[in-house]
Amino acid sequence: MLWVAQASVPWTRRGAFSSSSMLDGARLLRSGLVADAAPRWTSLVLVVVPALGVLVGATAGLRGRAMWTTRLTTVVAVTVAFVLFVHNVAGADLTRLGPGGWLTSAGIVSGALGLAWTRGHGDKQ
Amino acid sequence: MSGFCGQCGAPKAAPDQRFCQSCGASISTAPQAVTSAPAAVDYVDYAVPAPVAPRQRGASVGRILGTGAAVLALAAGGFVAWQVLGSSGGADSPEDAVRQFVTAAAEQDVVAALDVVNPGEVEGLDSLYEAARDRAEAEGLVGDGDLVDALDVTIDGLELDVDEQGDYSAFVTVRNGDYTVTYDPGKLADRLDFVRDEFPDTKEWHGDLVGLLDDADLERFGVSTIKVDGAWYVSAIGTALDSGLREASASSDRSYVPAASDYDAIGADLEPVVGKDPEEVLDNLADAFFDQDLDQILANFPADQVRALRPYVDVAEDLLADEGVSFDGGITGLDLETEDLSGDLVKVVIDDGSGSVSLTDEYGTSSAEGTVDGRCFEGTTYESSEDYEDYDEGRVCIDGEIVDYTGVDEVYVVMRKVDGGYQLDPLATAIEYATRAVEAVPSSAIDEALGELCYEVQDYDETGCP
Repeated sequence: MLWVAQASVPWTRRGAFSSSSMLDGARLLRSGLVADAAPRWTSLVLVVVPALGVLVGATAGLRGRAMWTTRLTTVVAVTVAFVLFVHNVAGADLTRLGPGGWLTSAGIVSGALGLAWTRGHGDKQ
Repeated sequence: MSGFCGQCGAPKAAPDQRFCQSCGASISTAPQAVTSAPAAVDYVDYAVPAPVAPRQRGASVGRILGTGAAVLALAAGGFVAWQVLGSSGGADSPEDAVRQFVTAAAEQDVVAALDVVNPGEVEGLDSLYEAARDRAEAEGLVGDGDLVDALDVTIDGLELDVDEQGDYSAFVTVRNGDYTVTYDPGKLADRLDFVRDEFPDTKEWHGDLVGLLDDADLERFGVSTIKVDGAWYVSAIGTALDSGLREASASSDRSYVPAASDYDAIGADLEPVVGKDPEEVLDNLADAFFDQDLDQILANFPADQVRALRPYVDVAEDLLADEGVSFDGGITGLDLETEDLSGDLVKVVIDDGSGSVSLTDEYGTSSAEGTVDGRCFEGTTYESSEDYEDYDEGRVCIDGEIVDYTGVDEVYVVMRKVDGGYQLDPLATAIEYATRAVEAVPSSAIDEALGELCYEVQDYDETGCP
């Protein structure tokens, strides 16, 4: 849920996305108003993290090796997206991260801990 | 048969009880083949230690939690989809629109600012912004961060007054608010070293916004907002015109606003005038201009772009009538070339064409005739009044320094494909020229401008200036 919530709050403390959310950005891109700077399809990039959050939440009740691998892939994908956002949106400056950035990173950490815990309790088998 | 649970010691409630009511452990009721300690635990099935019932209960709790998480996740997914696909930009009220715009501007958040600006007035500006940013980065004028890294602006306690002007327009002014500007020389771009040298210390300024506007002679300044498709947006065009007319009203006997302005025209449907080809677009526009039909002139442009101008049509027509102004003229011999730009835009290059215009008012007549021939204009002007007469002619070509500094080497306008035809797009035209200029202006011109800035900053001392 942290990955879904991060998309609804400001992502940085200053500059782009400091008083708007990723969902605002996705809507703006989709409207075509800034089509010269970024094509409409790039709006999908901004909803990748919440979409993966929805995927993890929707399959929370499922167990097994395949699900564990899926969740591992999801955490890795969100981590990559997080690094890209920090680089492009916050200028690779962690001090500029706002609530959205910290929620995403908290989601990554809790996701990684969850994977380690379920592996320790046999969910991977 | 009575007894106790072998797991927790709780008493058995019924002879045929299969699970302990206290801890859920399995209680075997089958005859036991026990060879030792039979009295105390004769009903406990030590041979089957796996607690079947607790596992079922744990599984059902897990299922409930999993189902709850799935429902919650799907609801969150629905929210995300609605935010991106279902809702549009804008704000719920004029006050919210201005508040978001001011906050976004202070925090340099382009996304939040664009979200509440009338889309028709900013469409395509992103290309100019990108060009300016790329150029500034290439010239070392900004870093990777914000546009103005060294300045941090915050607005607190913003209170606004809303003057509703009909159902589709509101003029919003600042009643109260404080600003804080922090200057950090360490974040200045390297090429602005001379500013850092002159002002090496961090500074902070505080003040109230109303006082700031008063000091800048902007007592009547406000932000015009308009309602488009049910949402409120800031209008740059409306802001400029509304503030200007309020200033004009205050300094003259005539009231230009709000009585004379028809703000409900913003929401009215206006039949667009679309040309089947670029030449017809220019002909239509010329006809509307020489008929002095301002509504028709606006109908020749993209509706959302000029929506904020509609309230002032009556004001302008009244002014022209008061001054006894009339126009006459026309355009002929157009030779146009078209070139597709991005999206629905088309660049229309004017290779050849002639035009004339004459203006008559109570003071006399002014007229001009001219031709476009590739890169050159050639024309005459004529003015006459009771005690004055003047005639002039000239030829000017787009070449040399003009091309070097602006990148513009041809005369063109930008049109938009609309309803199977074309309309002239003034904003796209301006953006196309400006983008070319931003990309073309030579580095030496930027050096020169920085040198002059340095000279000013250093109190007219050019030592160390670029």
